[in-house]
Amino acid sequence: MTGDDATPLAPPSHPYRARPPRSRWRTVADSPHPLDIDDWYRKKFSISGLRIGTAGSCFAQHIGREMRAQGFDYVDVEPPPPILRAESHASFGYGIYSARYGNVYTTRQLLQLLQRALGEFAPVESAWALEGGCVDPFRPTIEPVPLLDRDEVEEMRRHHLSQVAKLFERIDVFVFTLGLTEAWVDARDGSVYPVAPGVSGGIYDPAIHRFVNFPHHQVRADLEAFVNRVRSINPRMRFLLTVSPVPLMATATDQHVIPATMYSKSVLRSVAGIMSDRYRYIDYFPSYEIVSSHVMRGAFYNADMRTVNRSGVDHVMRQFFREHAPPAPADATPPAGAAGREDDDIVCDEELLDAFGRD
Amino acid sequence: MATRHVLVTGDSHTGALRRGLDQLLASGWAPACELEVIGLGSGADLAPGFFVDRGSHAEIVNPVYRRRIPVLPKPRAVARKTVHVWSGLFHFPKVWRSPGWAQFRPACVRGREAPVSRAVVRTTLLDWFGPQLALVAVIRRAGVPVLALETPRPFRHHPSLRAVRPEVAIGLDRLCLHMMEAELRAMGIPVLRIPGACLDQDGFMHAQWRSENPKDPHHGNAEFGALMLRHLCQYLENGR
Repeated sequence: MTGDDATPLAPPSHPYRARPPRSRWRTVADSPHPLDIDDWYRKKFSISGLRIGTAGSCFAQHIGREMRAQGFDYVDVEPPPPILRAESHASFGYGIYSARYGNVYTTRQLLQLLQRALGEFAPVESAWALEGGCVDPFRPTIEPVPLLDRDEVEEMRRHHLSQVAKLFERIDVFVFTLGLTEAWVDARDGSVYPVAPGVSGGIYDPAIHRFVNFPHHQVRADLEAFVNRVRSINPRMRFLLTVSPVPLMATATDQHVIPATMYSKSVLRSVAGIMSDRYRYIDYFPSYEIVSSHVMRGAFYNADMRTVNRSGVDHVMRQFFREHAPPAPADATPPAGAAGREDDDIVCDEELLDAFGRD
Repeated sequence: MATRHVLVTGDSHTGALRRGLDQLLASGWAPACELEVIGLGSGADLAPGFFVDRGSHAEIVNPVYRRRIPVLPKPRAVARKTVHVWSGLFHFPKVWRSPGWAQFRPACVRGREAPVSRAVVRTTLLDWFGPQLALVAVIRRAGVPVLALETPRPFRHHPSLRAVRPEVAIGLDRLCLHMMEAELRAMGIPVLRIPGACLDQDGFMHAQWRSENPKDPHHGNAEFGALMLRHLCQYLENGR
């Protein structure tokens, strides 16, 4: 203090004074429109030029699709066969994620997927009967109709898991969307099923199938075990975590579905935050907050207030691409044989002309 | 008793049948039925929208095809009890010829390629052959007997076999054959198969039946057409 009244007093110092505008709620309150709120995310590391893979609960499908469309080096180790029409790819589980694992909802499911791919875990349950055929219990809805029999399930799974193992060797960045804490577990070996037995195959047996709502410490332990195992085979791997903003379709707890959803998402959000804070090679992107924050007034949900609408996906991805600038869009040239006349067809025309003339 | 009228129509494989018929008639063959072979058009254009279902008949709207046959069944077909023999539902090079199959295989075939489920193959088959199946359903609904005619199985000289493993091509071909037979069986439409002697032990066509055109990878020749027409007439004479 100088005691000189003409000299303005320096404002008292406190920890928030130096914080940038994005740190203050006033920035949100002063935004004329929710869409004007920006600067949601600052990247921790660049993913430019890196090979990217995705997995997770259903919202992750949007992230992978948009990254692929924007020309990122998106790896797909199980591309669709040449004969399948593009319109049918998704219903057969092609092009949704980097491999045909379907939705991976929980961190335990993710860890077990890796362990199965590396031959470190072989579940007791290998196939579920359904409608005269069989499905893979660990991706029962990967195709719209059941496979022929156990042999076909096994044949498809053997290839699938070999490709999953290759995926984790090949990619540099793994984008994972955490979706649920609730799961159905096989008491015999701890296998986690993506859907409850009996819903899409199999027979629900209370003596074997148990409901689990994974607590925080187990979600975190499973995610850390996954990260550590992946980096043991691919030390350069980086991870980008998100949390799905899609609420639970139903809870198997005694809770109302909304508190059950909030609990589940809170656990997942917390684990993602802790992991991101702790490891330099793990980043967190707040798609969950962008879509579900109350400041968005639910505008990014469809009428069911559960599924995310196109505007929401677009807005989320704009925030993402603001930090991770996309390369040039991918070449959209259709694969050979997808359309148009091929040499074989031209021969057919000649054959008809030869036999019937130009009648 | 009136001679039975038989109309053979469909895709480009009718070309070999027509040339086979010419060959047979030139040799003095006198079939017990009145045979007519009219190619509708290339199988590539037997696609959605090539005909319109008018309830009692199918109106062919593809401008090239309708010059050959404007409606099916043909007028007076019910009165004449014309048997409509359809060629085109067994042309599966469309399924297996893509060089992309070098990286894939049907799950029922062993190998290192990525397995593809039966459901994927069936979905594709029904996508591609759905319009033809719909057409034969209209003809059958009109009260006219319909018969599906098998066309040649893969020839070993098909250029796609340089990229696609023969086991994969034949595996796909067999899968499609069984699926198509099952579809037709469910519709109550009989199938006239190729005589087994036309095939080698692996399921490929013997080279003696390949097209006279050395650049043609999948059509049969006039001799094959003649063989199939004799086979057809025998089948009809036996009352099947």
